[in-house]
Amino acid sequence: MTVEDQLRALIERHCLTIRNGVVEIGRALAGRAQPGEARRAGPADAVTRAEALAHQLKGGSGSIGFVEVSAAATALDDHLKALLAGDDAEIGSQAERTRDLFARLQRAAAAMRPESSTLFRADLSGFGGTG
Amino acid sequence: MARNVKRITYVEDDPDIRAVAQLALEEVGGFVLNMCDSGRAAIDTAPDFGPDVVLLDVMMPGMDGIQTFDALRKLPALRDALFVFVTAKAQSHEIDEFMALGADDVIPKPFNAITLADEVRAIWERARPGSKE
Repeated sequence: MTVEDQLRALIERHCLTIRNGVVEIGRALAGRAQPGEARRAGPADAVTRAEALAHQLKGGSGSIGFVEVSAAATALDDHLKALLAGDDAEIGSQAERTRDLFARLQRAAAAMRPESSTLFRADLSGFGGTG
Repeated sequence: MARNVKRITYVEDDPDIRAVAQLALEEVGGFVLNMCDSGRAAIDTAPDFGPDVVLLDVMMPGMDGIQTFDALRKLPALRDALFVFVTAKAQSHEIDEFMALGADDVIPKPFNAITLADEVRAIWERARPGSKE
């Protein structure tokens, strides 16, 4: 298996990781208990959980070349971080903005294909390990 | 004569990031890699591996990157290693905080898999001027 083949297999696998991550963020934002959790999360708990997931998605998707997903996750992550610096009232007043940013992330994930990754057609043949 | 950069310990809990970093550093960059999925695994394996550079994720469950950094740099076998955080927590004030803790550098996440190996070499050159690969 060539490096390019390994990279494409990883990219295809990561598409599923992204889709699952977006579903988890939606679940967190809705304040629904995660599988295995006994109780429904409060507003700050929900935002904390969603922010951690958006942060993870930002780094993972971007490093695997999904620029649009990473940008959308970054915008949501930044917004949720700002909310966490405030209080529960602010979380409520910013709900529409939160929904908009999450919708942007959902659209980016829905439009994503393995070929969307900037690494999908990367030519690695010119690189040589001399390190 | 200064040491060459050849061996890298990378600590990262996300399996897909580990996979792309492994391709970037081993296959593209030609480094010898000690890939660890947790801080605990790094503490257990890095002393025998003897890395020139330790790359550390920050947000990890259990022992986070900063705790791992504190533990690793106390190990005599790693006293000459460079420590670099690879993190999405890379706003300027966050980078300043990592550097104040004693990190040698910070690589923002998301990283570019095509240029990651070159970034590591550039960090090595800045920290160990005059050394060759």
